[in-house]
Amino acid sequence: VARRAGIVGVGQTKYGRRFDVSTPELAAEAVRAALEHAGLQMRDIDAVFIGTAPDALIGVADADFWVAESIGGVGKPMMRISTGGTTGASAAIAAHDAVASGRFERVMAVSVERAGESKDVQALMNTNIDPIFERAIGLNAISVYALVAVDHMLRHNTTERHLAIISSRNHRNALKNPFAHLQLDLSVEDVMKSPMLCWPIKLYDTCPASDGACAVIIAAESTRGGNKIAWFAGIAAFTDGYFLGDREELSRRTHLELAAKSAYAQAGITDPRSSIDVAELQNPFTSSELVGIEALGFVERGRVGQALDEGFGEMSSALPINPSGGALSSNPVGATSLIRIAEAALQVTNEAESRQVEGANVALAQCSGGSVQFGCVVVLKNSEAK
Amino acid sequence: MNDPDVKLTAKEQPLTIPGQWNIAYQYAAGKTATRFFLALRDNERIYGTQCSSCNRILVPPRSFCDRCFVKTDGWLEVGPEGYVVTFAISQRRSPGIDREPPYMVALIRLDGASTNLIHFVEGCDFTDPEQLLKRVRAGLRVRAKFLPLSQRKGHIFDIQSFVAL
Repeated sequence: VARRAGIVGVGQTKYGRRFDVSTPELAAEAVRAALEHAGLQMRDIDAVFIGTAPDALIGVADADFWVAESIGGVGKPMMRISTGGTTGASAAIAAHDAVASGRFERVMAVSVERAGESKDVQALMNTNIDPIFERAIGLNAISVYALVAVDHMLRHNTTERHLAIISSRNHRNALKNPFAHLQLDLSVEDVMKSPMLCWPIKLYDTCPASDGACAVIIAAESTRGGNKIAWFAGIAAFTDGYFLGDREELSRRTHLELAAKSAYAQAGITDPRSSIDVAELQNPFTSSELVGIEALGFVERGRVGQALDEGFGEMSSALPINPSGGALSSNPVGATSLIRIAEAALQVTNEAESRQVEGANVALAQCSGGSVQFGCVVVLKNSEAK
Repeated sequence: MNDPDVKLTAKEQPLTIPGQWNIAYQYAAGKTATRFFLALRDNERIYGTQCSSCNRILVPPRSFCDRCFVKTDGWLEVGPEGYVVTFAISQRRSPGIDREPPYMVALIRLDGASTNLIHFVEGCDFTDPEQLLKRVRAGLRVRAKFLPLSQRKGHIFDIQSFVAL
């Protein structure tokens, strides 16, 4: 890249059922918050990249048309970017590249999603499925992540309890996140007792359908002003094919392994578990975090269950995972991956308030989406990081 | 009305405007999938396409190989038996799916295929997942069960489900 770039402003809305605002107003709320955080005006922003994911969620096709003025796009270049669950991260990566290349001085990546308005989220998720061979089977996000979980259980003797440990930790962390949709003090037993949806996935192994928006402002060294900055130290995004049946091992996310390897090399990381101080993993389902932990190389493949039993990822551990509570507590679908990057940025600028990991200099955001097929890894560092 | 920060009273809930998408489509299956579906319908046979560059046999059939990015250039019969690679047991009705829960959805590796097909599996006890894990680890064989000829219409559901052997 031509020059370094980083995040100088982060804005989030309260996630949840947000019928107090229209969708454009929801987007504007995050944009205003990001500008305020950065001490900037909309006129300081050169371009806006907007991410929204399945059109059917907002229920307005190509909602970028609709939200143009509410995200400050008027009089500026804007474009929509959409890669399923990694939508917001893709927008942030594009915004980074636009600044790092020298094309623009400051670019805003914003993502808005409205998951609470549709009457049947799983029915509309089924419209994402191939209509020729697979849609009729009734696959949806829940059944897909159940297939992933069972693949891991079959190969590595992982248990439902391991999934429940992930859920409990995320929900307990969300208690300290004022933006979180669900704030539930759930024990492992509470998760285990929750209603079975699609074995082994229970209610509390799944995310809520959240409304919400997130925005980040990316600037270069020369245009950061007096702002704290979260530098992009590594960025990688890799893709797998659509058909789940084509994977050699469904619970092995090779595209994410590639992304991690590339991002670590850029960031000069050889031992991710010791070099990274905090990580935000995109976990709309407990099984997505389960396989994400391994793909990132935090634990050896097949050993994630044992690591979870030993408290891996807890706030008190050496590598806290999801201080924000993750997607399990708030999942505004396309915005969720931008939230991971936003939360990672707040950690390295020491602005994560009650969810701050003390002394966090290096943070990782892992994003995933599509048919378990898109994987992004972003490593952020502050100026103190080695 | 002059307060820019709108406050609604308890009686004034935020309004919602109703809407609905219900749009009909006819999705083009393409010639390759058409050949596959006609073989299901007319002959109760399952075919995959082969890539002569990497020798993989793709099921469902594709007209190109995503790894080598060349056209696939052969048809080979696979199945009708295979084994369960991974599975899930749906406890809830799925929208638009005419199947009483609990039911099993599985990735099935058909004999001779290099990839897995997603379909329903029946003929197992779905109430004991631990036992199912054991059976699948040991190799749970399944066999395609076709609809009667008169009901087949060139669709993935010409295979009604895969039955545990």
